[in-house]
Amino acid sequence: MTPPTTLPLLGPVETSVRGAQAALDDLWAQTQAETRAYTGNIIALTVGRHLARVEEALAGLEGRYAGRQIIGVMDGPPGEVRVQVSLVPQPGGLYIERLRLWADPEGLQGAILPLLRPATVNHVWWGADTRPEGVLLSELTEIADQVIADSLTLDIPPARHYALADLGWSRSAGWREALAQLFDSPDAARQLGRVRELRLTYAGDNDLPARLFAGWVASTLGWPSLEGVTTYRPQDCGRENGDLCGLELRGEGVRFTLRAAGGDLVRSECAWPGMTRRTELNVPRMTLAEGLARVMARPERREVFERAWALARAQLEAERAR
Amino acid sequence: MNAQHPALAPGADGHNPFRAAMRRSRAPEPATLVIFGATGDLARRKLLPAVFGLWQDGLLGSAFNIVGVGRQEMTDEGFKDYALEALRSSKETDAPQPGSLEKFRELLYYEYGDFSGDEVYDRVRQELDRAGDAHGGRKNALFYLSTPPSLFEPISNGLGRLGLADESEGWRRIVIEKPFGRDLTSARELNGAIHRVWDESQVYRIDHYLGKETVQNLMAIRFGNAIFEPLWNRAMIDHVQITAAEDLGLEGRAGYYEEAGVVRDMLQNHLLQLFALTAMEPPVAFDAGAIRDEKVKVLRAVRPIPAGRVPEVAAFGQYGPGTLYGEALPGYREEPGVREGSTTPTYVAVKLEVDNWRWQGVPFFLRTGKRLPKKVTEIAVVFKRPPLGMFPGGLERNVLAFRIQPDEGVSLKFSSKSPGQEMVLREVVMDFRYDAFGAPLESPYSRLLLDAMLGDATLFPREDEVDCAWQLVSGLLDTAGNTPPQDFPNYPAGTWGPEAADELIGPDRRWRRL
Repeated sequence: MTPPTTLPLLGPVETSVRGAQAALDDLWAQTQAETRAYTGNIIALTVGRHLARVEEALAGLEGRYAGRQIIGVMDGPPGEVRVQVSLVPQPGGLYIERLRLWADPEGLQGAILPLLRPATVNHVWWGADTRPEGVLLSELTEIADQVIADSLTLDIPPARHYALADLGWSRSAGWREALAQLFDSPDAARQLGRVRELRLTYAGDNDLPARLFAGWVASTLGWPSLEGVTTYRPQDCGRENGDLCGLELRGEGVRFTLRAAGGDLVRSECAWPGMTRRTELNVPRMTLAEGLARVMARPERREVFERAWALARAQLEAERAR
Repeated sequence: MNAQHPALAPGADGHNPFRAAMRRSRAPEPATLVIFGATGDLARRKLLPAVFGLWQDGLLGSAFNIVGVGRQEMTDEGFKDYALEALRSSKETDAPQPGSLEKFRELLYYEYGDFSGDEVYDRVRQELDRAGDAHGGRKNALFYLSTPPSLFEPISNGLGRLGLADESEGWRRIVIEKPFGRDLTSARELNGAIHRVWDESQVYRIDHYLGKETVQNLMAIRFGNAIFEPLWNRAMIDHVQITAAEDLGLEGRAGYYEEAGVVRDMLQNHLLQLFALTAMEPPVAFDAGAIRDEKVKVLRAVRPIPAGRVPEVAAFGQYGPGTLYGEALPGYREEPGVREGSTTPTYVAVKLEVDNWRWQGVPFFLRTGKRLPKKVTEIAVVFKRPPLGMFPGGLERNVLAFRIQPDEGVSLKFSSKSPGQEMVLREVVMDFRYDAFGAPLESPYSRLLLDAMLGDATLFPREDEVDCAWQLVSGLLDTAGNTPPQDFPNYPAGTWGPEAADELIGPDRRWRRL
C-alpha cells in the first residue's frame, strides 16, 4: 500500500539552463536524502493551457519510471528560455527532479538536450494536441527510447529506433485483460472461429482508444481489416472520456459481451448453443498518471501495439477518404 | 473479412489467442481458494490482505471465490464480517476502492468441522460444485494449509479420501506452509504422506523469502547482466557471507521456538534458499523446472556435515541478558514460556563448502540469530584482494552486497584515490537502493499466491530441495540436541553473536559490520 507522502515540495526556484543542475543540487542538499533515482528522463512537451493536466499526471508518476521530469512548454516567450526547478515528493517517500522550461520549440531544443540525465532511459511524451513537427521533435525522437503520443491523430508513426506508445492504448489494458479472461476456458476459446463482428461503446467523445482496442482484437483474430466488422458508439457509463463502456463479439450463434456496471465492476456474458455463462469482473479504472506509468513500464511487446495501430490507422484513413 | 477454415481459426485448439501478448502469459483460470485455518493469525494478517489486493487489481480472473475452513463454528456471514474486519485492521491491506470491500465480501464462504473426519471435506466439495456451476463447469481449487504442521497430513488425507485431489474436473493444488517436517525423517514421512494423495506437480511448499522482490532481484542481477557472471567463481571470489539477523526475541512464540530452534526456524529454509540462489549455476530457462534443478544441484554439491564435523564448521549461540535500543532485555532463558536451563540455540553460524568446479575452495558463511543488534538480511560476495599492492596502505577486498531487508538494494565496495597530493586509497561504496524506484514493495504472499493460482512453481521449493536442505542440517540438529553446549548463554542480547562465530570465519576474514 502506498503511504501518502509527508515530504514538502521543494522549489520551484527560478534559474537558467546553465544553472539548473546547481539549483537542483542546492535543493537536494536541503533534503538530506542519500538516494536519488537515476532511473530515466521523461520529457513532456505541452502548451500552456495543458500544463496543469500534464503536471497532475507527472505528480502521480513514481520515480521508478523517471527520476527527472522535464516539462517543455512550447508556447513560451520567443528568443528566451525561462527555467524553474523543483523537487517533487513521491507517494513512496522520495523526491524526483522536475524542470519546467518555457520557450519556443527551437529554444526548447537547445535547452532540453543538455539537461537530460545521461545514460538512462528517455521517454518523450507529446502532451499537446498540436501536430508535432520541426527540429525539436526530430532531435528528441533521436534520443528517445520511447515516444508517447496520441498516435492515431498526430503524425508520429512507429519507428525502429524508438517504441511508440499511446495513452489510449494503455487505458484500455484492463478491458484487454477482461476480454482475455472470457476465453481462458478452452470451450469458450473454441467458439472464437465463429466470431464475425465487434461492437464497442465508449464514454465521452473520444473514440480513439476504442479503435486501438478494435485493432488489437482484429489482429489477434486474424482479421485483415476493421472495415465493415467494427462499430463504435458513444455511451454514458460513468467512466472517463475515452474509456471503454462495453463490447460485444458476435457471430453465428455466439455472443460474448462485457458491460460496465458501475464503479470498477464489469458484467460478462458468454453465449453459444447449449451454454450461457455470466460472471462479474473487476476492471479498475486508470488515472492519467497510472496510464502513463503503465506505458513507461512497457509491459507488452511493441509489435502487438503496432499491429493494432496499423489496423486502426488504416480504418481512420479510409473513413477520411470517404 | 475472410472466414478462416474452422480448424485454423484462433482458439480452435482450445488455447486463448488473446493471452499471447498479455502482460503475464496468462491470468488464473476461474478458481476457488480454500484456506484451511482461515481464522488463524497468518490468514488474518497476510493471506486475506494479499488476496484482496490481487482481486482488487483485477488479477484473479473473471470468477473467483474463497472458502475459509476452520474448526471453529461460524456462519458464512460471521466469516465475511471476520474477513472484512481483518482487512480493515491489517497494515498490509491496499487502500480499498469505494465499494470494493463490500463486493469482495460476496466472494467469501465458510465451512467448519473436525479435520480428521470426512464431513468437512464433503462440505468443501459441495462448495467446489457450487463454484463450478458459476465458473463454467471448471472446478479448479487451490487448497492453502495455513494451519499448525500437525494438521498437514490429516487435511491432505481428508482431501484425498473425498477425491478432492483428483484433477478430472479442474486443476487441484495444495500450498503447504513451513515448517515442512522437523527433521529429515519427518520431512520424508510428510512427503510420503502428501504424495500418497498428490502428485509433486500439485504441491506448492511456501517459503515467503522467495516471494520477496529483492530475493528475485538477486536472480535478475546475476542473470540479467553480463558483468557479474565472469566474476562469479573461485578465481575471483574469496568467500560469501549470508546474514539474516533479527533484533526481536520470542514475541510470545516460546512454545514453537523451544521445539524448533534457530536451525529449523531460519537456517534449513530461508538461509539455504538464499545460499542456493547465490551459488547455483545459470538455469537454462527462467522456469520452475530449470531453476529448481540448479538449486538442487548446488545443494547436493555442499560437503555433508555429519555430527563429527559440526565443531569444525558451525558455531551455536544463545542470548543472555543485554541491552538493545537503550532498553534492558532478558536472556532467552528468562523469556516467558522457556524451559529452565533450556539449551535451544538462538544463533547459528555455519561454513558451507561447495564441492564443484565453480566454488571449490570458496567458503559460504551463513549466520542467523535472535536479539542481534538490528534486523537485517544480506548476501555479501567478498572478492579476493588484488594480487599486488602498488599503493601505500593495505589492500582491501571488493564486496558486492545484496541487501534483502531493510534498505533493499545492491552496493559495491571498491577502493578509490582519496583527494590530495598523496596516492592514498580509501574504500567507497557505490550504492543502488531499491527505494529509488519510489514504489512500495509487493507483499511476498501476494506474489506467491498468484503464482500458485497460475501454476507457476518457480518460487516454491521442490521436494528434493527440501530433502537436500534437511540432509545438510541433520548433523547440526543432532549436535544441538544430543550434546548441548555448556556455555549457554554465550552472547548478550544486542550483540553480534558468540565469539565462536568469529573464530569460525577465520583469521584473515571478519563478519560484515552491518
